[in-house]
Amino acid sequence: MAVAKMNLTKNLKEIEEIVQWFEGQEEVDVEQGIEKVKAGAKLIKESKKRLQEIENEFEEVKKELGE
Amino acid sequence: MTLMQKLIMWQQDRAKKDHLEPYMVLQFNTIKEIVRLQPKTNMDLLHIKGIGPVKVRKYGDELLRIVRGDGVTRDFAQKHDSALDLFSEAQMVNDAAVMSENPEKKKLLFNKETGEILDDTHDAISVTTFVTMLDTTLRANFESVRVQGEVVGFKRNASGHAYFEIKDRESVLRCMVFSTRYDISGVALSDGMEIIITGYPNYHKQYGFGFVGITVELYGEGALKKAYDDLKKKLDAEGLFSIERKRELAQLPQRVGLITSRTGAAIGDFTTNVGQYGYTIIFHQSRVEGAQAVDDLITALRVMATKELDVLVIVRGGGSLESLQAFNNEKIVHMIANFPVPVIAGVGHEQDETLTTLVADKGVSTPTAAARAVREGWDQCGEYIRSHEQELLRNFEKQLSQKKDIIIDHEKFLINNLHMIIADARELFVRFMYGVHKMTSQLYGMHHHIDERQSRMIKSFDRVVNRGQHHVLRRSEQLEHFYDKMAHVVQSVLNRGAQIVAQFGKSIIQSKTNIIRIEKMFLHVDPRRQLALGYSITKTVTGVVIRSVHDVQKDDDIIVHIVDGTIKTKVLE
Repeated sequence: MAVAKMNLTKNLKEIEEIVQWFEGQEEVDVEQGIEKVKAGAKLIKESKKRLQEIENEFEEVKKELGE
Repeated sequence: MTLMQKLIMWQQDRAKKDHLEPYMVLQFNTIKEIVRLQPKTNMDLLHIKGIGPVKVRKYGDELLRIVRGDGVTRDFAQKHDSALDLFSEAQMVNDAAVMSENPEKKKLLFNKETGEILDDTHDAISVTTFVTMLDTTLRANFESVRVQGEVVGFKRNASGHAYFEIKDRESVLRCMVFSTRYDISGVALSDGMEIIITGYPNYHKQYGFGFVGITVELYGEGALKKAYDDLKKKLDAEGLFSIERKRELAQLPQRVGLITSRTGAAIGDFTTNVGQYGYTIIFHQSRVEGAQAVDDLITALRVMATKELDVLVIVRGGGSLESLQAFNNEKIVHMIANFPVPVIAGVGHEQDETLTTLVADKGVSTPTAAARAVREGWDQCGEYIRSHEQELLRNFEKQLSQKKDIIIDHEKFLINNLHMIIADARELFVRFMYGVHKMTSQLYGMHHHIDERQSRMIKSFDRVVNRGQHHVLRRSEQLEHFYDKMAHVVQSVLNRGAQIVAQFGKSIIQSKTNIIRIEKMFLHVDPRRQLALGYSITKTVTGVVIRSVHDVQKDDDIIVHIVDGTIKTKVLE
């Protein structure tokens, strides 16, 4: 779970970078653009997967632990 | 109403009727035994310590009826509301206390009235033993009693413990609250306040009877409201509610601490609305109702502080100021303010405000809203990804369409140019064709001309040839004739030549003889023969043979030729 979380945060950052790359280009090199789009699509696919329903875990803290 | 309470009520009632002290009707231990053994018959009653034949005769039927649970409460239960009922229990304990302070009286009374107590009086116990028994009994039977009354004589000692009495119209109860408990209760007591104190009675070895308060809460909305406002003002002054203090929630919380009641609607509201994002929800049960919830919440907060969490959520449904008062507790507010990770509070309904909500990093009004606060980042993340997906594609498509436009422009340019080239070419071709046509017709003209010339040439050639043939024929005849003549001439020439050659041969032989003769003659006259004989020839440098002395002068160079060479010399004289 912790790994999935890190991935998602990292993914979002990378997607952002790709989008900014596109915004920053006056003229896009089409070959490079295709590579970026491919990478972006992969990241988006992974991220979407993580955002699909994953059942929550429920742990109850037992009282005796407290006191 | 418990059997114990029913029996105590009956004991009070009966004592009044008979003008006796309640303990004289039945002792508390005896009532406890009745509760424990649930006697069904008079014989059963006789087995209980403190009940002899006299008491069975006097109270047996009534007691058995109460134990069976029929029809006993009617004549007295209605005069006792719950609080008074509890108060009666306290009163009963008080009676016991009075009794213990006066063992002589007890002995006397018991001797008079109840033979079966006699054994006890014989085996006297020490004060300490009795007081300890009393204290144990009190605590065992009144673990948690809520007593309402007005505060009188409030004071705190050097250690911070609170001492006061609460009273109603008839009775007074001595109370004390330990300083830690008093602080946790978060209530600033003063005389005249109506409060509910929850705790247990005890009997202190030195100070005697008292009621030990575990929680103290204000009674009545007005008092609660005032206390709430005062505390809010105080905490606000401490800066606990300031925006600057609010910590940002993790965007994608994974480990979510949850404090609420296991049984309320809030837990369901929260868990259904938080979404399935693969959280680990660490739940700690806590009561959430009224002042009693304070301890649970404190425990839960302490435990949760040791857990690895991204966010802590505290929820409960709405309620009155009284029922929500744990969430307005100063200690809890401080604990939330200092909680290691951000706290989301969803307490109450839309209109409810609690200090917990105010101090939380994210204070919302309902459990459902708290759930939304937790999932917000996840939801945004989904939207973010969707929008970026579109943006990414849009950007790329834009770039592609720009490229496409460029290509189309180039294509158009090329096509235009091609058209122009084709048009040029076509024009050129037309001109070329025109030229060709023109040339062809010229050629045709020329051809015609040539043909004409040719035919003329052929004609004239034929004429020439014919003429020539004729001429040649004539010539050849002449030539034939000439040849014949020539042959004749040549024959004669040849004949003559042969004569000449024969003559010439004779001449050559003759000449040869003449040449040998002449040669011999020449050998005789050859100067070199003379030179060999010792004659010499002298010449000037210019090669002139010196024949006379006049041919030379003094100092001229002369050359003397002798048979085997020349001598170069000078004329001396």
